[in-house]
Order: sequence, then structure tokens, then C-alpha cells
Amino acid sequence: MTGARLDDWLSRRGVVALFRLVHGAFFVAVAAYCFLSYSPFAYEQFIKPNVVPALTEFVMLSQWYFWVVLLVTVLTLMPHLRGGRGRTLSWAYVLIWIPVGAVVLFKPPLRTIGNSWFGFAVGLLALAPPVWVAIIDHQARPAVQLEPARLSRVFAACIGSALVAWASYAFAAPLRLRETPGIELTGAGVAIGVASSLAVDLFCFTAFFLALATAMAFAQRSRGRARVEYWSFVALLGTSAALALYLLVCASIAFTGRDAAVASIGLGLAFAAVWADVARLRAPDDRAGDCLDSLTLFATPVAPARSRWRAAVVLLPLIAYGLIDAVSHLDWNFLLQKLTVLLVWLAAFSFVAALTSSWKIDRPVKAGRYLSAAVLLVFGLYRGVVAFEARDGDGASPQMTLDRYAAVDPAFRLVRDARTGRSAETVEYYAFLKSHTLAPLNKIPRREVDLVSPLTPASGMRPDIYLIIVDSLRRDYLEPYNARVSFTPEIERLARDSFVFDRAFTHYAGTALAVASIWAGGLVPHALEQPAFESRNTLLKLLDANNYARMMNLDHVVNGLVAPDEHLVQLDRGKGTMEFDVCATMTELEANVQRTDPSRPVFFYSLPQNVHIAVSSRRKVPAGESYPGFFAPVASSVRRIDGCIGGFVDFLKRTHRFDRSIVILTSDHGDSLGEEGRWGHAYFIVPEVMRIPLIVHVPPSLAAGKSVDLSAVTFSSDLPSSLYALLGYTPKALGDFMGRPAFGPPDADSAWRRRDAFLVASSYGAVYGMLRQNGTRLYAVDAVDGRDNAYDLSDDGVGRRVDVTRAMTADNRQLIREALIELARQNGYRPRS
Amino acid sequence: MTTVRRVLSLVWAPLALALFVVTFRQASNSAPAASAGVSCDRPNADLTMLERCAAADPANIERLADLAQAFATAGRRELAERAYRRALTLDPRNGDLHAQLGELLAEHGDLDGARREAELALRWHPGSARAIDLAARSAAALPSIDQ
Repeated sequence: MTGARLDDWLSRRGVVALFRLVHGAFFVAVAAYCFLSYSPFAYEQFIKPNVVPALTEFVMLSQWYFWVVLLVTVLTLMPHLRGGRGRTLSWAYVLIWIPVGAVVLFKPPLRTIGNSWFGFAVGLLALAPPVWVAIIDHQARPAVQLEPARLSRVFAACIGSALVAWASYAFAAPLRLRETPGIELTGAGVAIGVASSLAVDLFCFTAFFLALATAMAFAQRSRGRARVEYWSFVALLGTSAALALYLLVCASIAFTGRDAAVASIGLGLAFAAVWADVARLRAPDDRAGDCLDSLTLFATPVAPARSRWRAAVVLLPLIAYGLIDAVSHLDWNFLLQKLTVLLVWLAAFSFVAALTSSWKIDRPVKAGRYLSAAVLLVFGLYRGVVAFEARDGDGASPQMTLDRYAAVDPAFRLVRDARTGRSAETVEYYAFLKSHTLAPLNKIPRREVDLVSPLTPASGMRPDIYLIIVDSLRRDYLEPYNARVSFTPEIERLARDSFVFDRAFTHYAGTALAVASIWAGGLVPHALEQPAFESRNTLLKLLDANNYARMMNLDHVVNGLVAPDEHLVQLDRGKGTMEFDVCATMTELEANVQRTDPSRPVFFYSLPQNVHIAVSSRRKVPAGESYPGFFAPVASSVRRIDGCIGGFVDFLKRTHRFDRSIVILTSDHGDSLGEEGRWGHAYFIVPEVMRIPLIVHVPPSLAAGKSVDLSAVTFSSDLPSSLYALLGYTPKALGDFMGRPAFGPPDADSAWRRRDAFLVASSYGAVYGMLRQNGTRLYAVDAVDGRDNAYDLSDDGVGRRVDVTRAMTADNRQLIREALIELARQNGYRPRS
Repeated sequence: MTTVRRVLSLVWAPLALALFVVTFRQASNSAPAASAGVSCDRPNADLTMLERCAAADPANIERLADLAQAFATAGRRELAERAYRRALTLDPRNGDLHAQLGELLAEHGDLDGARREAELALRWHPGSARAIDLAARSAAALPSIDQ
């Protein structure tokens, strides 16, 4: 009796559809993980350092998930296994995937794939089951009766979807504007943005209608017109998904070429298969005399015709807002936000298609005329927006106004980024930038870089050196840089005994190259792994020449730059990079410093992750703490590191080490915390990411007789040459791309720092910039998003966006080109062809 | 007529779609302009040119500093001082500019002002020989003036 009930329950279409959805979601997730692992960039930056712990948990449990999904699917296949249509394929599914499950249980592949071809193959293989069960369901379940959709209804569904999609984001724009710092947008600006957004959404959905109409036109001439129409819609969905994955997702993680195309097509196919499978299962099976049209069947996975689910359309604005809120803090170059927009658009289309399923339009000829006129009207509206955007304005140009509006309307941003136009010259320029980006490992020859040659031990005092590089720490979250901060009293105390560099920058947005440039003491070849780095590691050469005991935790970046040897005392053993906590590290450091041979100087390096958005946003702000004007999770994490750094400085003072120690507090780069809607650092070359804090305490005996220009541009890559200078060496000037001492003789000329233009870059993509006029002007060329941006950094805050002029573009692009050619020449590598 | 209508019903949607796709992208405004005829990056000491360059980018501190220096060399003290002060309004932490202004003031007998500028220069450029020298000169001269 119980078995019969279970059988009955498991054969319900809704239940089977739900299990198919889970089945599809699991295998698509496995495939997506495998493709991420296969991309060297994603593997190095996200998977290896465990930036998203949920991913690791998924990998650890994946074999069990596999079995749950497999067993449930086999149970739902039971009726087909007993006989009837689909029997052969169902048995084949069981006979193949159960042995695979046994292998997976004993040797879980996700744990061992690493960054290899095997992972890519596993990813493709994981896409087979969803397609497989979709075929079984289509074979075994009776097809619903279909009739062709009416063109006018399809058009009404598209225009209705455009309005719903527009409303879902535009209504929240004023609210987001209040929450988003750094956007100068007036009420009129918001109104212009909202109106433009409507025109743009109407244009996109009308284009989608035209694609559907094209499919319908070609289906007209075929036998079984309604069925061809329906499958054309499914094919269009699969193609759109594949294109979105390739152009949006793969491009954002530097996964390009044939492999990315194959992965995107595979995922698009699986997505379309799951969609069609759920549509088949959720479609009503007994509708004699009242058949569905192709559009209604297509919309069925989200909103079956005549179901109460259709009313959920009114919740879409809330869902859209919630989704953006949930993903924005952990986003990468707006990727997750854009994907949620696409999902909301798909849901809007499905809901509206279901809502209009009962519409009857009896006079197709007349409707056709209205329809052509409506398409022309939408086209005219869009061209109106384009013409408006091209106008010059007094004050903020219309384009600048719309750029600012895009920060508060993710759907508008998605379209704006997709429609960025490129001249032939710009296309060539982007190709040039890309050819200099992420160079293959074997293309970079060994190169000896010596700031001092021969390098003998320093004749004078060898101070202890404590280099604390707090990942993603922003300067304006520290008291010495921002009078509004009141939560870093210990760092303020350290600053009073230190040199506080007012215009400190990193050359690289992103940890990988920012850290490499600090050890190298200058710009490095643009590659995720730095081959033969020991020959260019000027900081390590200084430490080894002076017999420093190196106390370090080995994060995923420095692990590839500094080989462990007898000088290394590894801290935070057994911890992953994202677990490095400054307080725990400092406690361990204090114990080690006290144990060290007093005749040996100590060098300490750490890249604590307390402030990193992936860590701090998971941390709960303790009760009673509030940080008005700051992002509370980060401010609270800064307060915590402040206490621990203060405790360590006290330890140095208590043990009489402070006056013989150089203490450097800096960061690898800053971070966006909502400015113009940005979060994290991704590829952003923007003021809040490029500006860093740099506080250097120097023993008075070493500082005597040195001059320091605190308000001139200084880079974190100047640190090694500065340390050479402080230890009494005279480091060689090795050209524009190598750092120079921030501490010089009293008559040192620092005017070049104020006048020169400096190359800056993203660690992870073809985004380059020029920093000029003593760090008050930043120009960035973003070949990933296809935009040029300019900023004025004159103020103490996070700077402001300024209009890009054509002369500015010409000038800065030329400087970037010259710098990249020279950098490649000096490092002896050829850019990719 | 029926054939024409049939053909039209078949091709209008793909044709309109093609039009939408082709016109979707913005007209590119990212093509860089040709470089300007005269570069202000490293202007010569010609005062007229320096004034033009400073006027073209009034927030460019280095251009203002160049202009101030040129005014000083030409003996136009008031204009030089005004240019220095304007530059320092934009970048009050520029130690070098404070030292340069201090030297100008010292040359023209404003030793108190020179000392103040020297102190500010040392605050932002500690150890600077130029600022130390200026501070020493102005401090040494001040008591004798007082007497």
C-alpha cells in the first residue's frame, strides 16, 4: 500500500518536474565548477585561495549529492523501467550512471581535477545526464496538443515583459541612489535615466520579439508548424544562454577561445534541455479541445497557463531587488548582478506570456499593421535616446548622466555595457592591450634584476622589518587619512611615530600582481604566475644578503614568489589564504620573534584577509558598534585589526624593538564598497582601488639625514628600493618601471614623481591606466567592458568621475601603448599575437 | 499580390531584426582625436605659452608651478606669488611648492612668511635640504630684523 502511494506520488508531473530541476541544477553546477577549475585565472584567483567557501563545501559533499540526485531520478524513472516508451534509455541511464556513481563515491573527481584537461572533460560529461533524462521524458510522456502562437500575442507578451522588466529595476533606482555613495545624480538625471531605461528595455524585448517572429515565419512553411515553432523558441533560449555565458561569464573570468565556446554551448544545451523537460512535465496532459499554443508551452516551466503562479509577476520587483542585494557584495565585475537581470527578464517574459495566454485577437491583418507601427515606434524611441546621449551638455553630459544612472539600475547597466560601440581604431587598440595581458608562462625569459651589485651585507644597522599588507584595506578607513574615522586609534598612534605617505598607490588592481610588484620592486610581466621570479625578487635578495629570518604566512600568491628555505619560519601553517587573521598571526609572530637569535634581524610579511570583502561581509558586526558613513562589516574588521596591530606595536615597544624596527602598514590595493554600484576590486581601475594607505615607521637613527616627500606620488613597489636606501645602500635607477627610494638624500629631487605619468593595470584582465599630475588624474582603458573612464583624485576622498574627451583618450592611450611596449621589451617577452 | 504578401510576411521579421541588431551598438565616440598641435606637457619657458597652458587646465598644479617660477624669473613677484598661492590652494600639502614660495618671499624680504612656508615645507617634505636651508636662513635673519 505504501509502495503504491509512493509510486503514485513519484509519478505526479509536478513532483517529477521538481526532481528534474534538482537533477539539472546539480549537474549544471558540477559542470560549471569543472569549467571554472579549467580556467587558469578562475582556478588561481577563486578556487585555490578558497574565496567562496560554499564552493569547497559543495566539492567535499558532491559525491553524496550525486547519489541523492541519482537515486531520486531512478525512482522517478521506475514506471519507464517497468515498460513502455523510454524503457531502453531509462535502463541505459541506470546501467551507466550507477557504476559512475560507485566510482565517484570512492574517488570523487571534483576533489582532484585541479586545473587540468580532465576537469574540462568531466564538465562536459556532467552535462550528459540532464539532456539524457529530458530525452527520456519526451519519449515516455505524451506530447500536448499544440497550436501555433499568434504573432500579436507574442508581441504583446514581449512589450508586457519589457514593461515588467523595466519596472522591476527602475522603481528601485531612487532607493539605490540613496544607498550608493559617489553618484552625483539629480532628480532630473534620475528621470532621464528611468525614461532611457524604458526605451532601451522596449528595444531589447522588441528585438527578442523579432527573433521569435523570425522563428515563427520559418516554421510557417513546415509540417507540424506549432511544434517547430516551440522547438525554435527552445533553441533560441539555448543559443541566448550560450551567448550570455560566452560573452558575459567567460569574458569576465578571462576564459576565452575554443574551450570557452565549447563549454558555453554545452551549458546552453543543457539549460535548454532542462527547460524543455520541465515544460513537458508541467504542461497539462488532458486538454481535449483546448490545446496550448507554442508560446504558452514555452513559458510553462516558470508559469503554467491558468495557474495561480502567474500572479507572482507582481513580486518580480521585490525578487529583482533582493537578488541584486544578495549578490552585489560578492560580485565580480557586475557579473552576478547581470546574470540575475537575465534571469528576472526570463521570468518576466514567462509570467507575461502566461498572463496573455487567453488573449484572442481575431483580425490578424489589422493587428499586423499595428504591430509594424509599434515596432517602428520602439525603434524611433531607441534612436531618440541614442541621439540624446550623443549631445554635448552643460555640466554633466547626457552620456555621463546615463553612466551614473547605470550604477543604480543593473538592467540598464547590462544593456549599456553590451551596446558600447567601438571604432576600428579602438578594436585594434583593445587587441593590442589583450596581447600584452596574462602572458603565457613559457614566454617570459629569466631576467636578473639587481638594485645593488654586488650585494654584500649592509655595513650599518640591520633593522627588523615588519611588512603588513592588509588585503583590500582602503586608506579612507584609517584615521591618519580621514578625520571622519574614529575606529583606528592604534594606527593613528603608530602614524604619529611614522611617515604617512599622502599619495600612495598600487600599480595593480588585484592581489596577484600587486604583491608580485612589491617583492620585485617594480612593474612585473603581466602573467598570473611569475616564472623564475627569484631572479627579479629584489626584496628577497636584500633579505638573504643580510641573513634575515623570514617570518611569513604563505598566501596563494607569495607561495609562488618566495621559495621556502632555511631562512623561512612559516606562520599560520595549515591555514588557507582566506583564513589569515591578523590577530592570530601577530600572536604567533610575537612568540617567534622572542625565540629568534637576537643577532639575526627579523623580516615579517603577512597578507591578512580580515578586510577582504569575501571575509568581512560574512562577519557579523558586533552589537553596539555602528559606523555611519562607512560600510559597517569592513569598518568593524578594520577596528579589529587596529587593536591587534596596536597590540603588536606595544609588544615591540615593551621588548625595546620598536626603535630598531621598520614597521610598514599598507595594502595590496583598495576596494570598492558601493561607489557607483561597484563592490570588490575585480578589474576596476578606479580611485578607491588604486589608492592605498602607506604608513612607514623608521628607526630615528635610520631616518636621520634622509628626506621624504610625503605628498608626492609613491607606489607600494617603491618599498624594496626604499628599504635598500634605509639600510645604507645606493640602489641603482633601473628605468621607469622600477621603484625608486621614497627615502633619499636631503637634496634628492622628487619633482619627477609629481610630473611623470605612471602605468597602472588590472592584475586579471586587459584594463590599463595612466596616473598623472601627482596622482590627481587617473585615466583607464577597460578592454574588458569596452569603456574609457577618467577620474579626478584631487580631493582626499575617493575622487570623482570626469568626462572623457577625445584628446584625453588620444594622449593616454598613446602613453599606455608606449609603456606596454617598453615593459615587454625590458622583460624580454613578446606579446601574444 | 498574395505572393508579395507571403514573401513580406516571411522576411519582414528577420529584416527588422537585422536592423535592430546593426543599430544596437552606440556610435563609437571612443576614437581618439589627433594630438593637439602644441603640447603643454613640457612647455618651454615662454610666459605666454605657460599662461595659455595654465588657463587650459587650471587645476594642473605643475603648470601653475611652472608659471609661478617663470613669473619669478621675469621679476613679476606679485604674479608669481599669486600663482604659487593658487597652486597651494589646490595642493596645500605640496612641500616643494611651499619651499619655492618661501624662497620667493625671502628674496623680497618677507622673512616671517618665508619661515612659515619653510615649516610647512618640512612638514610635508621632512629632511628636504631646500626647506631646511630656507628655515635656517629665515630664522637667522629674523632676529636681526627685529633688532
